[in-house]
Amino acid sequence: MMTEASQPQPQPEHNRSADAPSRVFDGTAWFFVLLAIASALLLLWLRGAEALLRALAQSATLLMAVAPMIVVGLFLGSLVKELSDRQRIAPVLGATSGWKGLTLATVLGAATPSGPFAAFPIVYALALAGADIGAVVAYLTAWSILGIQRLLIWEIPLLGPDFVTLRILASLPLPLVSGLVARQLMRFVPELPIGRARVTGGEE
Amino acid sequence: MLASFLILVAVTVPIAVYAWRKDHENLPRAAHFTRQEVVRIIVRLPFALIAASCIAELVPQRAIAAVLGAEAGLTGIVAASVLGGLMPGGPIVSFPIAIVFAQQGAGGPQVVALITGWSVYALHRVVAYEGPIMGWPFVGLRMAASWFLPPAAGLIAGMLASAFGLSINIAAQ
Repeated sequence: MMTEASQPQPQPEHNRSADAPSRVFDGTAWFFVLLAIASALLLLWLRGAEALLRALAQSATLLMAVAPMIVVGLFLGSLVKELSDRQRIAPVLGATSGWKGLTLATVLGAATPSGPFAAFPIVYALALAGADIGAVVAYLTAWSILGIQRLLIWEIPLLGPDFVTLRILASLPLPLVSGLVARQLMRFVPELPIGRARVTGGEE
Repeated sequence: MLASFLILVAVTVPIAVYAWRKDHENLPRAAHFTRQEVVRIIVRLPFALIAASCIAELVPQRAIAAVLGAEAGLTGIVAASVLGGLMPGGPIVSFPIAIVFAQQGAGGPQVVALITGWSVYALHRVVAYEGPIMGWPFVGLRMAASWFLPPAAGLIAGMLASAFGLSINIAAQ
C-alpha cells in the first residue's frame, strides 16, 4: 500500500472534464504517429513507392468511410452510458456478478451487430457504467468469435454449415474463459485505464 | 461499409428517441460526452489507419495460405492462430483466404484456429480501433486473457470432430 500521494492523476470524475489541447495529443497519439511513420517507411523500403501510395490512398478512403461511423458509434456508446444506471449495471456486469455476469456479457457481445466502431464504444460505455474487466473481455471475445451477424451473412454462406457448427461448438466456452482469466489477472493490477476511465482492480 | 453504417444508424436512432423521452437532458449530455471522445480519438485515427493500411500491405496474404498449406497437427494449429491474427481486413477478405488455406491442404482444426486467431488477435483491428479507443493497457490485459483461445478452439474442434464423428468439411472446397 502506498501512503504517499505520488499519483498526480486526479480522480476519474475530474478526469472526464479535462480536455486541454496538451492532453488530446498524448502519448498514445504520439505512438500512432510513430507507428504510422515506421510502417510507411518499412513499406516504402520493402515494396516501393507504389505500394506506399496504395496504402495511403486506402487509409484516406477508410478514414472517410470510418469517421462518420466512429462518431455515430461513440454517440451510441454515450447513450448507453446515459441510460445505464451504475446501481443496476454493477450487480449484473460488475466484478461480483460471477458466471451470470460473464454469460450475460457473452450473449450481449454475440448479439452486437456491426463492426468495431460500434462494439468498442458500447463496451467502453458499459465499463464506465460499472461493468468489470471480466465482462468487458468476455463481451469483446464473444463479439469477435461468435458475432451472430457475421456468422449469418458471411461465414455460413462461404464456409458451409458443417464447418461453422463445429467451430461454434468449439468456441462457445471461450468468452467465459477469457473473462474469468481477465478477472483473475485484475487481482494483480491495482488500476487499469480504459480510455479516459479507470477501472480499479486488486483483491475484492 | 454503407450497410454497416445504416445498421448502426438504425440501432442508434430508436435508442436516442427512447433516451430523449426518458429524460430530455440525456441527449445534450450524450452529445457532450461524444464530443470529448471524438476529439480524443480523431487525433489518433488518421495515423492509426495509415499504420493499419501499411501493415496490411506488408503482410502477403496469399503467401500465408501457401506457407501453411502443408502444416498439420499442433504446429499447424499454432501457426494458423498466429497468421490468422496477422490477416488484415474484414470477413469479405478473410473468409475467402480461409477457403484458399483449406484448398492448400490445411485441416479443419487449423482453419478453426485461423479464423479464431483472426477474431481474437486481430492485429489490424487492434491498431486501427482498439488501441485508439480503449488504450494500450487494456489491449495488453485482453491479450493476456485471450492469447491461448485460438489454439484452444482448434484443438477442441479437432477433438469434437473425432469424438462425435462430425464433419469439418468446408463448403467451397
